[in-house]
Amino acid sequence: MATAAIPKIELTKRTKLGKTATLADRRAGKMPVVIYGHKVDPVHACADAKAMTEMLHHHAHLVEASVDGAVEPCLIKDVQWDHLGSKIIHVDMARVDLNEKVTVTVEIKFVGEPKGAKAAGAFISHPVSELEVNCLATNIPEEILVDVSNLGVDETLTAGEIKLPEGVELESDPELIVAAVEIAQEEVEPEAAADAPAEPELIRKPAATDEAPADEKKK
Amino acid sequence: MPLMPKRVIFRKQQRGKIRGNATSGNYVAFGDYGLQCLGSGWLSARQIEAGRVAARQFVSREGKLFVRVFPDKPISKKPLETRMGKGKAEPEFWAARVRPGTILYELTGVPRDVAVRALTRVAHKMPYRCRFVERRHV
Repeated sequence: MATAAIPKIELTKRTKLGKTATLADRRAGKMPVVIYGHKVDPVHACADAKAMTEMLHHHAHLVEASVDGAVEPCLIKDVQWDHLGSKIIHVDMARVDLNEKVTVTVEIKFVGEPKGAKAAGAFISHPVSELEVNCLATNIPEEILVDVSNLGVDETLTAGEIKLPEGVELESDPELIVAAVEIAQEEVEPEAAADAPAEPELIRKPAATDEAPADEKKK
Repeated sequence: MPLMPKRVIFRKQQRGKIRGNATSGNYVAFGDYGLQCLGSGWLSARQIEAGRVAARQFVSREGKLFVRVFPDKPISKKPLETRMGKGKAEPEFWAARVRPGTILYELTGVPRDVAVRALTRVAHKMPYRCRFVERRHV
């Protein structure tokens, strides 16, 4: 649970905004951050990139942001990555009241070996890796543990069947499939059919040529 | 059989330019591991198919393979020893446009070491530098 200790992050206000200043900040090992919400003007700040990345890798949702000495609890709203997905380039934070309920996405962690996974060619597929939950800002779970040990072959586990920690309500669709044990099927190589067209079909047929009427006109 | 669209509006397209980095399709979305392209250009349907076959043969019947790119661009080429002019040539092959960051293939249901070896084989078939990536958890 996140209640144990709220991670703290030191931020400094950014005076210069825009592409050039942002790039300069990133080059200097800083990460641009914006803090908004609660009908207060947004604050543009920057954090130490290393500290912020480490904090985010530990699945922090609620943080205590100290902007030039003024401390306010914030929720990590959005994280932007670079094009290769290897570096975090910007973080959105929303001001939060510690007594209000918030909707956050929490990572799922699978526990146990599915009983159906022992079958030949069986594997566990998990189309989603996060769930949306609603809970108190101080009660956000770091991760949701999902026991998949009872899953047999061709059985699925939906979001509604997951036991959530106390005080945490599910926001995602309860019918959402979280995990399934599937049997890998051999791909059938489509044989090059003799009658298969070498070119795709044209959606818009070429306009019918007015040759016949034109010929008639000539005549 | 290499991939190509079933239906198109126009038979031929202009060549276009591929600028910048991938802004979509640049994270592992369906599987656990992926192969990320670090170059930009066209990836022909034959190259995509060669990569798919390489991965599929390596992991045999295990796991699930996702091909994240589709060749939807017709590339035309003039025949050899043909004089210039006389209009645009006939389509020769179909290609996908890739940019640095595009995820080409994804794998799930196999151990990490198997995925690394399978996708390394696929990378050797690709005309661009590629790297192995995992689904990110932040």
